Amino acid sequence: MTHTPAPSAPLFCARDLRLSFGLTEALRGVDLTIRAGEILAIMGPSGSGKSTLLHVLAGVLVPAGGSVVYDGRCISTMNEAERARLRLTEFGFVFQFGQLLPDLSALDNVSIPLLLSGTGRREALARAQELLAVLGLQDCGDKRPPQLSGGQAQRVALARALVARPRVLFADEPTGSLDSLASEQVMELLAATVRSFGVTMVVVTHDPRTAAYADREVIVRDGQIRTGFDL
Amino acid sequence: MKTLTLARLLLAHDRAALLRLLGIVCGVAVGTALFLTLWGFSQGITARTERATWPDYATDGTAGIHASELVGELPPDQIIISGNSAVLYPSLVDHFLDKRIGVVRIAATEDSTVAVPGANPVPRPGEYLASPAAAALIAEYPPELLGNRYGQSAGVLGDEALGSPGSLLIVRGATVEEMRLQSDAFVVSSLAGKAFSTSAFRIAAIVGSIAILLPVLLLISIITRLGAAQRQETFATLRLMGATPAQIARLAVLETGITSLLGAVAGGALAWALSPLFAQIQIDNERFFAADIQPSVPFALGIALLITVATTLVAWVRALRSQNTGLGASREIVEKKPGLWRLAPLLLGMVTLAGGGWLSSHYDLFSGLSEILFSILFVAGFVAILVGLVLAGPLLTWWASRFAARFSRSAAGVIAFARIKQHPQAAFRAVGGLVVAVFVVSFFFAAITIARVDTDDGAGAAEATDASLSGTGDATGNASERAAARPAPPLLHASLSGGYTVADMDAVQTQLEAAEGVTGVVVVSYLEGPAGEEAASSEGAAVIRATDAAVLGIPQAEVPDAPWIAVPPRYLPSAYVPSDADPAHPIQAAQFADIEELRPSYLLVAYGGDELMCERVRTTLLTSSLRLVMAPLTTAEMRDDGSANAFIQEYAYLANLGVLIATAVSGISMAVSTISSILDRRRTLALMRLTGMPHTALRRMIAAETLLPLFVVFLLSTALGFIVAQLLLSGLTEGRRFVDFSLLDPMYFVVLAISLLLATAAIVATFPTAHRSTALTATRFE
Ligand SMILES: Nc1ncnc2c1ncn2[C@@H]1O[C@H](COP(=O)(O)OP(=O)(O)OP(=O)(O)O)[C@@H](O)[C@H]1O
Ligand SMILES: [Mg+2]
Repeated sequence: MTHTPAPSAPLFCARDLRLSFGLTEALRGVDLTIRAGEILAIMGPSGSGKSTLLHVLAGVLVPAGGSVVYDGRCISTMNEAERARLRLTEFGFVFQFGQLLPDLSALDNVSIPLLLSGTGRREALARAQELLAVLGLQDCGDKRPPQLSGGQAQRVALARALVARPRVLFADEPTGSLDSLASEQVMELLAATVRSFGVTMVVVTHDPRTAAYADREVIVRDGQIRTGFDL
Repeated sequence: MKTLTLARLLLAHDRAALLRLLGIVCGVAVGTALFLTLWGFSQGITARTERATWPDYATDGTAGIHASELVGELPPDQIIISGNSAVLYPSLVDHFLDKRIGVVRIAATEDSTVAVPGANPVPRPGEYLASPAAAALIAEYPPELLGNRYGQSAGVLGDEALGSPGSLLIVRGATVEEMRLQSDAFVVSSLAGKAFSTSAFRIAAIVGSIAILLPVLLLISIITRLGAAQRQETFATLRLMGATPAQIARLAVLETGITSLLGAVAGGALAWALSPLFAQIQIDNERFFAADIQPSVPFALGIALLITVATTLVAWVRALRSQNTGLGASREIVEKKPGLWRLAPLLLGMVTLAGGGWLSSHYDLFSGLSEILFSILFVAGFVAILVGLVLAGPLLTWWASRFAARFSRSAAGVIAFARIKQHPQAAFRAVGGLVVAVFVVSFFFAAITIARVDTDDGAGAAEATDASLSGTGDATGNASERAAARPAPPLLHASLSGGYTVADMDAVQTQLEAAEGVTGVVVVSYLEGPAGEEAASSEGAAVIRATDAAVLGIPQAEVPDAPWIAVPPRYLPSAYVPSDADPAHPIQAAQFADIEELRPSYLLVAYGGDELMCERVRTTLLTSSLRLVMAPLTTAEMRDDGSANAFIQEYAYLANLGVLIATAVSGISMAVSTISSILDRRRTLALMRLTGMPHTALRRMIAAETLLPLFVVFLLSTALGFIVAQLLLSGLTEGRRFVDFSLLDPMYFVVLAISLLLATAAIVATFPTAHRSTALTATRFE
C-alpha cells in the first residue's frame, strides 16, 4: 500500500543532528528532509534513537549540534516559549498511551488544544464533537478515558491531535499498545484522516504493518539514518 | 523480614514514595508536638494556678478569724496574712506604670512554723521579698518611684510562690499591730493554693485544641496519600505477580508503623525542645515556666505509642480496603460522588448549639445544672460543627465545581474543575484545615462583638466622666462647653480607711502639698447623716473645700461663694458613674450643721507631670502615714479594673495565634496535596506540555484547582462562623441580642488576610515543583 509522494517543497530540513544523554549518543549526525503532505515512517531497533529524533524534529528536545529548519524557521534556535507556541499551533502529537487527562470527558479532552489557543468554549466543543463523529466516536464524548477501550482512547487522542488543524502530526508508536486488529483500524483511520486534511505525518514505529501506511520510510540505527531513500 | 526486603526494594528508587515517608515522619512529628504542647498548656495552667493562689487564703474556705479578733499573742503555728494575689482580686494590687504588682503582707512570729511558699524565712516587719520580675522592676527605677513603697529588700521570692516567671509579687513583713488595723487581714494556720478553671476557659481550650489538631490530622491524611496513583499501580503489579492482599497490607503497616513511630518520637522531642519557646506564649497575661508545660516522659511516650498504633491501624484498614477492587481494575483511584448525608452532622451541630443556648436561658432555675448542661451541649455542638464542616466540604466543593465547570472558558479551568469534580474529597482535604481555622476565628470574633457592646457601654460612660474632667470629649450642651474651658488635671485616687476627721486631713493635706510632684490635693468627704453616705451620693454630692475646686479644673465662676461645696459625680473621677446623674446639676454650697458630720472618703491628688511623676506621687502616698484601703489608682486604672476588655483581648490573641498555626499547617497541606495531585497526573501533564501547553496554563490550572475549594471554604466558614455565633447568642439571650458587624475587630480582617496570603503563598510555592515534575525531560514518552 504505497502511495506516490506528491511533488512538493521540503517542510523540514534537518542537518547533522547530534544529541547525547550523558555517555549515550542518541543522535550521531542525522540528516533528514521531509516534504509537505507526505507520511514518513521512522523505523529501527529499540534504543536506536527514533523517539529522540522525533522529539528533536518537533522542537521538544534541543539538539546539541546541527539544525532543524521548519518552513523556513530554525526550530533549534528558538526559545522554549516560541517552540511551545509552535507545537501548540502547528504540530499535533499522538503517543502510545496515557495522553488523555483521566478526569476529563473524551469531548473535553479533545477540546483542550482549542481552548489553549484561545477558541471559545462553545465553538471548541462543537468542533471537537464534529471530529469525534468523523472518527466514529460520536457516542463516546461523555465517557472519561478510564471508561474507553484502548482503540477508542487512541482515536480520541488522534482527534485531540488533529482538532486544532495542525500542519504536522507526530506519532510515536501510535498503535504500540493495541492488538493487531485495533492497530490496523487506528492506522487506517490515521492515514486516511491525515491525507484528507493534507497534514504531514511523521510516525515512529517498529511494526512493518504500521510503516506500510507511509509514503516513505527511513531506518535509524545507532543514532544514524542507515537506509531508505532520503534525498 | 520478607516484607521489609520488599518494602526497601520498592522504596529504593521511588522519589514520591520517599517523599511520602519523609512527609509522614514530619506530619506525625508536628501533630504529636502540637498535641503534647496543647496538653502541656492545660497541665501548666492547672499547675501554675495551684501555685499562684497561695495568698488567696479564702479559696480553701478555711480562712481563720479576722486579725482584729486575735486575742493575745500570735502563736508560732499561725500567721496573719493580708492582701491578695492578682488572680482573684485584681483590684487589690499595686500599680506601677502599666503593670500590676501583687502585694501580700504577712505577720509571723520569729519561730513561726507556718510554711509560706517561696519565703523562707518570712520577711521581718519593714522588709520585703520580691519575685525576680518584681525585683528587676524595682532595680530599674529610683527607689522614690517604686522601691520605697515596700520597705527594705530582704531577698528574692522563690519560684514556688509564683505562677509565672513574669509574676510581679511582693511579700512584705508586718507587725501584728499593723495587721490588726488592716481590714482584709486574717489569721491562718496554713497556706495552700487551689487549681480552678472556669468552664468558659475549659470550653475555649477544648474547642481551640480541636481547631488546631484537626488541620494536622488532615495534613497527615494528605501526606499518606502522596503518590497514591503510582502506589496503586505498584500494588496492582504486585498482586498480578501473586502477592495476597494481606501481604500488601502488611507492607503498608510496616511502612506506616516505622515512619509514624519515628515521627511521634521526634514530635515528643520537638515539644520538649520547644517548650521554653512555647512558654513565652501568654495566657491570662502571664508567661509560663517551661517545666509547667513540659509533659512527663512516660506520658509523652504513651502518646507517641498511641499515635503510632492509630496511624498504623488506619494504614492497614486502608490498604485492605483498596485491595477490594480486585485484579484488573482500572488504574484510576475512584472517588464516590459525595452524598447529601454529609450535611447532617453540620446541621445537627447547629441545632444543638442553638438548642443549648435556648435551654440554658430557659432553665436558669437550676443554674448550676444549666451551666454543666450548657458546657456539654456547647462542646458537643461545636465539635459536631467542626467535624461537620470537614464532612460537608467535599459535597459543597463538588457542587461548586459543577457550577464552575459549566462557566469555565479556559483550558486551565476545564482541567481544574473536572479534576475537582472527580476528586472532591482530595480537593477539599487540601483546604479542610483552613476551613476549621477560619470558622473558629470567625465565630470567636463574631461572638465577642457582644462583649464589646457591654464594655463599650462602660467605656462610654467612663469617657463621659473623662470628658467632664479633661474637656476632650464631646458631651452634649452647656456642660461640654464649660468643660472645654477646663484644663485636664491628671489625678490619683486614694481611698481612705475609716476613722479620719476633717481636722486630721488638714494636716495631711499641707504635708502632701509640700511633696515633690504634687500640685494639688483635694479631700473628698461625704455627709454622714441618718441615711449616711448613700443619701448624699444619690443626690450626687461629694463635699470638698471651695478653695480646692481649682485642682479639679472647675472654673472659679461656677463655684458658689461658700467654704464647702457639694460637687456632682461628673466632676469627679470614678469607675462608676450613675446613669441618672443629671448632667446639668450645678455645684452648690454644701449644707451641714457641724463639720464633724463630714467623713473624709478619699483623696484626689493632682500631679503635675508625666507617668513617672505619677509613680513618684503614688510612692509618696503609699509611704506616708496614711491608712489606705488600697493602693492609689489613676483614673484610667480605676476604669480598667475588672473590665472584660483585657480578658477579651487575651482570648483574641490566643485565637489569632491558633488560627495562624492552623493556617500554617493548612498551607503545608495545600502545598503537599497540590504536589500530590500533580504527581498523580505527571505523565499526562508532561505530555500536555509537550503538545504546547504553556507554563501559564499549568500554573493557572494549579491555582484554579486550589482556589475553588479555598473560595468555598472562606465563604462557608466565615458565614457559618457568624451564623453559629448568632444562633448561640440569640439562644442565650432569648433573641434579644445580635452579632454587630460594625463592632468587628479590625484584627479579624488582618488575620483573614494573612490566612489568605499564606494559602496563596503555599500554592505559588508549588509552581516550581509542578514545573519540574512535568518537565519534558522528566518523563519518557513512547
Ligand atoms: N531522557 C533520557 N535520558 C537518558 N537517556 C536517554 C533519554 N532519552 C533517551 N535516552 C537514550 O537514548 C537512546 C535512544 O533512545 P530513544 O528513546 O530515542 O530510542 P527509541 O529508538 O525510541 O527506542 P524504542 O523503540 O525502544 O522506543 C537510548 O539508548 C536511550 O536509553
Ligand atoms: Mg521510542
